This record gives sequence, structure tokens and C-alpha cells, in this order.
Amino acid sequence: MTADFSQYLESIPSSGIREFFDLVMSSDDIISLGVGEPDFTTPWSIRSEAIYALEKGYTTYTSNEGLLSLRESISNYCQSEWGINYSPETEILVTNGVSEGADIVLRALLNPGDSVILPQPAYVCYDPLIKLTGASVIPVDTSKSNFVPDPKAIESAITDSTKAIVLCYPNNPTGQSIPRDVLEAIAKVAKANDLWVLSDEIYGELSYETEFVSIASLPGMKERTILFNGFSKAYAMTGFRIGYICGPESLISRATKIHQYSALCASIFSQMAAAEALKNGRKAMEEMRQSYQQRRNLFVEGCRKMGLETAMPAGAFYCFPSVKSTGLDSVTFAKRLVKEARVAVVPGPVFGDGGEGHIRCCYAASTEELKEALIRMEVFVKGLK
Amino acid sequence: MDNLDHRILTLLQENARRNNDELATMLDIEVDVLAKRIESMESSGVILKYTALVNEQVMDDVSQPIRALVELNISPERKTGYDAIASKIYQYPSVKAHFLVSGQFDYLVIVEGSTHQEIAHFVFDKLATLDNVTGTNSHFVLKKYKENGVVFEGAANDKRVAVMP
Repeated sequence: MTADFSQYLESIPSSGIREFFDLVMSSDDIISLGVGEPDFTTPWSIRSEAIYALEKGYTTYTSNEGLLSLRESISNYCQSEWGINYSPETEILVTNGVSEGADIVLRALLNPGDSVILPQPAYVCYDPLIKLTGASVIPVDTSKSNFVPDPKAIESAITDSTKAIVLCYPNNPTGQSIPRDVLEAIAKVAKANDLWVLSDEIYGELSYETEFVSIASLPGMKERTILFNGFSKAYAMTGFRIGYICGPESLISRATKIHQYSALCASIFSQMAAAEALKNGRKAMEEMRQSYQQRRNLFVEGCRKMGLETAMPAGAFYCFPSVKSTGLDSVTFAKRLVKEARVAVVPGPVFGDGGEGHIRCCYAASTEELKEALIRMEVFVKGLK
Repeated sequence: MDNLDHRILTLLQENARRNNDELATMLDIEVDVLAKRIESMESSGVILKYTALVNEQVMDDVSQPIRALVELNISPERKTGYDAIASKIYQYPSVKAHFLVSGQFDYLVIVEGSTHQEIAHFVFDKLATLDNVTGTNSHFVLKKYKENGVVFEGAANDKRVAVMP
């Protein structure tokens, strides 16, 4: 065969971080703060609903859009959690996690030559998925503004080809959120420039001191916002691969067209488990959130005590300490930390512009593991001086 | 008792050996505020004691205690009701727990001993013979699956991929 593959795919460099990931995966006896998911097993009532569904023979396809009863529950949830009213029939699509949602929305929206503004650091899927459509990414480095996107920086990055802004907050990897007044300013920019906003709110429920505000709930924003959410993080259901997108019918119907050919539907028993999460999972979710918050406090204080500048995260279960004071770049720090201190973290540059000089630490680990990791990290950091 | 007290209790019930510095950090409060809260819950009797949760099933010696859940039917006394009779029962050291319950019997008593015979004798000699006890029904514990919210075996190991963006 001739080696002639998708030119858009060829334009995406293979991940330079693979070597580091292989190093972690081949290391034994490490404490890993490099994970990207809750340390809780899915609450039993949700798991048992999936088991019950299988026992009863729910092993079929569902409609492409997902079970109507689940979409109705999602609609009620969006209303009660964030005050946004979505029609279960036309404005909600159940997807295989946010990842699939991001893929089909970007494909439904973009043409070659378009551009998308992406504040970074951000979760890794957006940059390549945008490029796969033939559109280009305009990164906006948030590291200069405490990892909160600066509306002015967004505005000045807009070009004639710009079609959308992607927002992923509370943010993986930084844990930072966008305060309401900043969000309002970004909404204003989007409206003034007639841009779509793709808002990945997968960590929305895991917000700590301040209540999460969805940009779709701001005046005039519902019609230009696609909201991505799911069950993976808040309900500890990563392996169920279940999420949803909400937005205007014009875009949801087009994303559904791709979804019906590429995924057909989300797994029926995952959908039934998700419905149980929305029905009876709230208490478990709030207990998990409280536990993350307590461990966040413990871990951030430990990082600060060893001299690593660390901003207090507002949500998610990551913090993003600076390692600049050690004189090492992020990848070198992370590699040596695995080899010399047996602690795994993720180097900041994995998440794009603005990540250099930082490491992502996931504090969804037991307090015993966190304390041991802090001791090991402190010995390592002190040894560098 | 407010929300902070409940959060302190939850953390201590998970692990009573957490020190005050760690607890205060986790709860984002000053250490002396925490110390005062704990002291106040101790002196008011909300916190009675700090103990260890033991899994006898994995002890490698033969001296594992044996437990029975004993149901007791009672004819309560006028004026003092169930409480006076209860105090004649729970003062035995072999009574590890004692509840007044609704339903087909009145007391549920957890009795511990070193042999089945020792428990049987205790139930027949000490409990069944009390004037107000009208019936007993004993259930020997065969296996402990969960206690104080802790599962005793097959605890989940970490199945997560060690590194993931």
C-alpha cells in the first residue's frame, strides 16, 4: 500500500509525551498522581442499576439520541443545577462521554480554513480534534492571567476566520474556574463577534468554594453555546463512557447525524446507570466532592510547604504546582520525580501553551498516599538545591 | 452541632489517628478552632472514645473471640420501663452492644466470648433467668462482612491507569 493517509491527521504530531507515559507505566512501586479520574468506585446504587439492566436483558440499541427518559432527566438536571432549559426532544444528545461529544460537535461546526480559539492549558482532545476538521487552533495562553482566560486576550486573538471559543472550566489540568464577571465579559466578546462557545463543563459539579456558573445560563448565550457534560467525574463513572451535549437544535441535529453513523448510540446499560445517577446519586456525589476538597487542602498545603508555588484550585481534582523554582523544566522534573522519588505526575506542557514550568498532580488518591507522595516530593525537591 | 462538627466527626470516624494539624488543613480551619471543637464534643459526650476496628478473622492465633446476636423478649417494668432491665444486662463485660429495637423482640444484645459454650452459658444462666426476660433467640456470627462502614475483605484495589491526561 502507498503510505498516503489523511493529511489532517498527518499534521498532528504524535504525542511527544509518549516516552514519559511509557516510563511511568513500566515503573513499579510508584505513587501515581498522574491519573485522570476519581479514586472512588462508581456508587453501588448506580452499578447495581447497570447490572439489573443486563439481567433484564437490556442489551439492545437505543434511539440515536439516547433514551428519552434519560434526556428528560438530563433536561431537569440542567434546569435545577444551572438554570438552563433544554428540550429533551431536540436539544440534548447522549454521547459516549464528552470526548465523543467534542468530536462530533467540532465536525458538525467546522470547515477547513475556520479557526477556533482555545485557551490553554486545556484538556488534550480539543487541539487535535479541531485540526482533524481542517480548521486551525488559535491558542490563548492563560498562564499570564492565573490560568483564567483573559477576555481581552481572547478578543484580540479573534480573526476573520474565527468561528468558536472552547472553554474547559473547571480546568484540567489547572483546577481553575472562570469567575462570573470574567465569564460575562467572555460572553460579551462571543456575542459581539458572533462566535459559538463550546463549553466543556465535565468538572462543573466538582466546584468547591464558589458555585459553578455555566456560560449557557448567561443572557443571550444559550443560543450560541454547546454545553458538554457527563457522568465520568462527578459520579465516578469514567468506564461507563457516558456523557451528553446540549445546545441549539440546529447544531444538535447535525451532531446527531454524525453520531448515528459513527457511534449509533451510547451503551444502553450505561444510559440506565446514568439515569440512576441523576435520580439517586446526589448524596454520593456531594460526599465525593467534599472528600476531594479536603484532600485538595492537604495536598496544596504540602506543595506550598516544600516551596512549590501552587494556586488553590477552584474545582476538579487537580492542582498545578509551579516547578520553576527548582530550575528544571516540567518534563525533566517529572521524569526525575518518577525515577528518583517514585512519584508520577503529568508535565504541564502536555496540556499546551502555558503549561511549561508546571506539573499536574491529581489529588484523587488516599490521604495516606498523598502524605507519602508529599514526603517523597519534598526530599526530591530539597535534594535539587 | 453544626456542619463543621459533622465534618470533623466524619473524618475522625474514618480515621481517628489523623492529627489535628492534618484535620485542620483538610477542613481549612485554624488548629485551635479544631482543638476546641473536638474538646467540646468530647466533654459533651458526643465523642465517647477512640477505638480500633479489628478484623479478628485474619488473626493468626486461635483465640479469636466468638460473637452472638441475642434477641431478648422483655416484659417491661412499670415506671422504669425498659431502661432499668437494660442496665442489668449491659453491665456484663461480655455484652459488647445492646439496643432496644422495634419489631418482634425488644432487645438486641451482642455478646462476645471465647467459646460457644461460654456464650451459651451466659445466655442461659445470666440473661434467660432474669425475671423480665420472657424469651431468647441466639444467632452465632459465622462471618463478618462489614462493620462501621468498613468492608472486611475483598476491598477494591486501584484499577486506574497510572497516567492519563
